[in-house]
Amino acid sequence: MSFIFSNDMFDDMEFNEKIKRKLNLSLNKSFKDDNKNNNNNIQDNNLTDVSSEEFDFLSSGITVTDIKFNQVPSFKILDLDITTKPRSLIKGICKISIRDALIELSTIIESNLLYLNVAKNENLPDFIKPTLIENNSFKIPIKLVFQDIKLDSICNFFIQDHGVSISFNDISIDFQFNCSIKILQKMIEKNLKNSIQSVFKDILPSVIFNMSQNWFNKNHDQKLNHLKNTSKNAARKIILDDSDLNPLNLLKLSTIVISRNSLSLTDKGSIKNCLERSNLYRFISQLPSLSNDTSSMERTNMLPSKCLDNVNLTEIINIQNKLYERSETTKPKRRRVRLNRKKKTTESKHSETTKPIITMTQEHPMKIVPTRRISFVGINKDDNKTHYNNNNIQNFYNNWKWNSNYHFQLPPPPPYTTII
Amino acid sequence: MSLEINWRELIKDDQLNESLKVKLNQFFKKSLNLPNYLENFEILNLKLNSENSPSIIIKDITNPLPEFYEEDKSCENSNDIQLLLDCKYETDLYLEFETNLKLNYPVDKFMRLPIKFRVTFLALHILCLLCVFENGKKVTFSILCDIDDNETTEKPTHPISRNIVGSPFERLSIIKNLSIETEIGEGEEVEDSGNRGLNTNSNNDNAALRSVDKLEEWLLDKFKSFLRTEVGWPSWITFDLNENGSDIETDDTADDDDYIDIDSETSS
Repeated sequence: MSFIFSNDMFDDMEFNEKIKRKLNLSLNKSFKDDNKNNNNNIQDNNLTDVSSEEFDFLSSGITVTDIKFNQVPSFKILDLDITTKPRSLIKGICKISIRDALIELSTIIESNLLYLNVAKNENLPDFIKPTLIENNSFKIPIKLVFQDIKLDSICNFFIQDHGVSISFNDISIDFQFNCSIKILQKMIEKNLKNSIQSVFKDILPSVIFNMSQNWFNKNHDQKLNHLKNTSKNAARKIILDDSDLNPLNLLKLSTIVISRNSLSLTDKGSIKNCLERSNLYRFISQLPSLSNDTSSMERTNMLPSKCLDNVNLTEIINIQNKLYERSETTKPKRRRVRLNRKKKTTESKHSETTKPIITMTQEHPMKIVPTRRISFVGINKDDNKTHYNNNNIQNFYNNWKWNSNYHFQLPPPPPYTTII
Repeated sequence: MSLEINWRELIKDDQLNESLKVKLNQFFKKSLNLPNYLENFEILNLKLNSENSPSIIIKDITNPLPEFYEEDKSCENSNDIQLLLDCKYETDLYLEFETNLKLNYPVDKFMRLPIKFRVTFLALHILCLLCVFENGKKVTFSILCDIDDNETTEKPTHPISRNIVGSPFERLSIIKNLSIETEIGEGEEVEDSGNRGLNTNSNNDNAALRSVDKLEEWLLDKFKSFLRTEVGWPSWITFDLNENGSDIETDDTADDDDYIDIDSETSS
């Protein structure tokens, strides 16, 4: 199974108690609202059954007396597809399977239907009502036990930035049903099995979608309030199918299209901050860039290796700064990391290695790197660099101490240096 | 002037991989504040196993750029030094780490999804600045730009190079090539359910999802932009090597969030 449920949690009765409480709450809250159709933890007003008043034989709330998961449910992800452009969207297929679960419900029902339809029914006109000598309510407690619940389903899910939609396919549900009133057992079982299909196919997906929309919009609203942004966007609730056709966007698009219907010969660019595709090539070639290759559209901002011979630091810095200002609006980061060291560490083993790991190659000073003139002797005059002559170097080395715990040691530059 | 790194010495030392892994895990456990939907960020395996050593060439040694003194003009010192380095590293290192995505509803840690990442190849060739201030008490590092070797203009033929990146509008990509493999989910082992009332699912097939390309692309993208904002010019990272915290004047403009403490004391 892909997801791992925490086993201890299923072991622990407390989880079952929690679920029981939640179920009871939601089942009975809607009972108080005269609503018969319920789902586990999800409430939605779209589910009010309009005709429930006529058959209100539930005399009390529905209580979940027991719930057990003898086997940990399994939830596998079969496929996952993530796209970030143009919109962030995650698509996936997963398989959920529950085995050997148990739910026990108990409630009290009104079994005298005459009482319900005649005595309690206010809509019935008096002249139709029969005169009955005794028509009292007869309440019977009933207990429903669903055992050995097996649920297998493959669901497709889509996660977008405005909602989550899940659709269940290939549902197979099986359970052993026991009812304390045997006469009703077969009927209830048949009805349930028929309607479960429609619950999964229609009701659950729409409920989940609406709830996720509300939740996402609530977060979205909170963010807007924080920014004190009075949005003129009236249509907050996004329609499932036509999510692209926001009328405001349509208006914007049509304005842009109309503005281009012009016979003007000069191309002043009717849209602000927008580059026409035919000018893209010109735009790219004028972008500051570190590479000299202006010919191809596939050039990258990489410094060609031949420039390494004569590195012009100021030029590079300028170009990178310009590019940065164009693209980023945030301030550059200046992170600081404190490395607190204790004097005595147990790493003394490493510092005992005699051979240093990193050395300056002194054997062939001429052979190494290319033709960069390192002006140790101070012949090249350049504004940005101080020239390190022999005295400076000695001073520098004397004042610069590396802690011996570090692996790389730079031995001092040799006192003699020449230009290549 | 180039630095010759005795890579063979480093690689031979098996303990180095192990101790590096342990240190990093300790750091992550202590200092990394994971968001509440993630838990257990841990490095499982780390191997620097290549004959290629990184090549570091010093291109220039000068005074630090004036930008580094913008925050505190008074701490200029004549011994401050700036090294312009050309670093090239192409290696098939092996790094495997794991984290858990967790769902905290309806109870804490109700469900978790383990995700494993395996990094197998890394290539970079950058020009960077390394500055030393205050006689070795403060070291600053920033990456200036990428360097184009002429060979990489065609598609490289390295067998495991898949995630090659770079676009005309990308200012700095730092990582030229990085191979990541992801594995989502985990097949559970059959547990001996002798004494427990709960039977675990005996389905033993490994239902993990492997190599989700899009995820890897997205990860690489995120990682590159993270590096770009943290270490890419004009941002830089400073290491305070002071033994006492009070030696360096604290900068009022720096956020407290920007400070990260790393304790290098080795624990038991």
